[in-house]
Amino acid sequence: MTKSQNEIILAFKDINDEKIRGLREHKLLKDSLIIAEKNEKIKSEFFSRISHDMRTPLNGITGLCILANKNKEDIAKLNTYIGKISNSTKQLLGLINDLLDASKYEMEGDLVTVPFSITTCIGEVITLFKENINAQQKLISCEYSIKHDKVLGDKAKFSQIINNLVSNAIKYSGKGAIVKVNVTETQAFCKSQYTITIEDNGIGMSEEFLKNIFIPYAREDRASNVVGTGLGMVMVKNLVTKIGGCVKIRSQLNEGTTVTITVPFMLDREQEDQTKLFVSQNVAQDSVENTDVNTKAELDAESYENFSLKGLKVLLVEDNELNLDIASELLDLEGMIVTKAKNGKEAVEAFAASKEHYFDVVLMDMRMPIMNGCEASLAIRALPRADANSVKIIALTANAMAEDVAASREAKMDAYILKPIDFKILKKTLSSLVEKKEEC
Amino acid sequence: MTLNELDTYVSFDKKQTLERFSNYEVMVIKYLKKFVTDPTFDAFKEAVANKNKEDLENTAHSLKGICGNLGLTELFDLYNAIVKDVREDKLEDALAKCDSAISKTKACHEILMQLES
Repeated sequence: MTKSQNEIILAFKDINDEKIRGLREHKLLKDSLIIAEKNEKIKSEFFSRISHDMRTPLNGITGLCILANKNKEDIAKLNTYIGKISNSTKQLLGLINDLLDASKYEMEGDLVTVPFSITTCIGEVITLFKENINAQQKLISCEYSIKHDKVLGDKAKFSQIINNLVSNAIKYSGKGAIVKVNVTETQAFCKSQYTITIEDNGIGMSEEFLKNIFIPYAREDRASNVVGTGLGMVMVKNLVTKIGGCVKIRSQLNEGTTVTITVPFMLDREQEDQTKLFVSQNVAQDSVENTDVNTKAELDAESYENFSLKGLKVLLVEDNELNLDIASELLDLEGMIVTKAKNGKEAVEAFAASKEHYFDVVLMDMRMPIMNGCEASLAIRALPRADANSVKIIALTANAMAEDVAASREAKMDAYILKPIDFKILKKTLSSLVEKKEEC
Repeated sequence: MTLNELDTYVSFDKKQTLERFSNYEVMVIKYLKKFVTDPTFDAFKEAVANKNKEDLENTAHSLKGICGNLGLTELFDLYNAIVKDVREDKLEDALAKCDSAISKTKACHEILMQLES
C-alpha cells in the first residue's frame, strides 16, 4: 500500500431520511405511551364508576329484600318493595346489556349482509324504548324522506347504531323532552347513502367533552347520575366506520345534541322491482297516549323518464376548464341554459348578481381552489335573498364516500351526483328536486 | 384514425362516452383533441417533479375527471389510484405511479393527435 501525500478522503452519507425516520419512530413511541397511560387512567375510572353503578341497584335490591322479609304481612308495603326491586333490576340489566353489547361488538367484527327495510329496522328499535318514553313523558318523532326502503346491508350493526343513538338521546334528556329522528337518502347508481339525524333537546355536552366522546369509557362528570358505560358512542363510531359511513355530532350545553350518521347501503333491486319508487314521508310519534310507530308509505311511479331538462337554468361550477366546457356543452345539448363559474367564489358572485329565482339549480363541484363547493353552498344559502334557501344545489363528486355525502349535507346541498355526469341520474335527481317553471 | 378505431390503440369506452355525448361523435373528437393541449397535464408533470403533494392531488384529481369524462378508462384508473394514494398520505406510492401515468398519457396524446376530425 502506498502512502499518498496531500490527499484526504471525505466520505458523505445522507442520513437526513434516516434521522427523520428515527425521530418519527421516537415520536410514535412517545405518543403511544401517552395514549396507553391515558387509556389506563380512563379504564380505571370506568371500573370504579361501573362498580359504583352496579353496587347502587344491588344494594337497593338487598335492602329492599330485607325490608320485604320484615314486612311479609303488609301486602301494600310488599308491593312497593317489589316495584322498587323491579326498577333496580331493570337498571342493572340495562348496564349489563351495554357491557355485553360492547364485548359482542369486539368479537363479531365481520359484516353480514342481509336484505332489510330501513323504516322497519328503525321502527323496531324505537319500539324497544316505548315503555321508557312513556314513563318519562317524552316524545319521539320519525320523519323519512327516502325513495328506497329496501336495502342490502348489515342490519344487526345498523340496529345497534340506531339503538345506541336513540338510547342516548332519551337518557340524556329530561322529562317531556323531544327526540327527533330524521332519515334522508341520497342515491348514486345502485347504492344509496342514508343520513340519519337524531336530535334531542336534552342536557347537551360541553365542548371539552365532545372532543373525547369517542374515547372508550369517557363520561362527563355532570352526567354521573345517568347509568352508562361510556362505550355507547365508541361502538357507534366503530360500527359506522365498519359499514363505510361517518358520524358527526353537534351539541350545545343544556340545549341538546344532534348526531348525524351517514351510511351507505346497496339497494335491494329485487324488492325495488316490486315496489318501484318508495316515497315516504312518515311521521311516527310516540306519546304517552299513542306509543305505536306508524309507517305510511306512498308508492310512486318513476316519473323522471318524462322529465325534461330543457329550459332549466343551471349555474355550473367546475374548476377545470376542459371539464367545465364538456359539462357545459352536454348540458346545453339537453336544452339547459348554462352559466359557468370556475370556482366557488365565482359561483357565489354569479348567484348574487342574478335575478331572484333565475337559477333552478346549481351543479357544484366539491373540490375547487379559492372556495370549495361546501363553502360556496353555505355562502349561497346565507345570501339575503328569497331564493337563497330554495335554489337546488347538487354536489358533483368524483366519489360517493360517506364523508363527501355528509359534507354536502352539512353544507346544505340538496343532493349529490357522481362525475362524469350521467344524464339519467341528473334527470332523476332533478325531477325529484325541481319544480319546472312554467314557460311564459 | 377514426373514433371507431381508437379503442384498438388506447383504453377507451366508446359506447358510454358516445352515450354521454348524446352520440355526437364530432363533439367527442373535439374534446379528445382538446385533452392533448389541455394545460393540466403539464401542471401535473411539474407537481411530480417538485414532489408537491397539494398540486399533485389537485392536478391528478382534474386529470381523473377529464379522463372519466372522455372515457379514457386506463388513464382514469391510473389518476384515480394516484389521488387515492395522495389522500391516504402515501406520497411515495403515488409518485411511483406517476411515471407510468406520464408515459401512458404521452402515448395517448400521440394517438389522439392522429384522430380524424
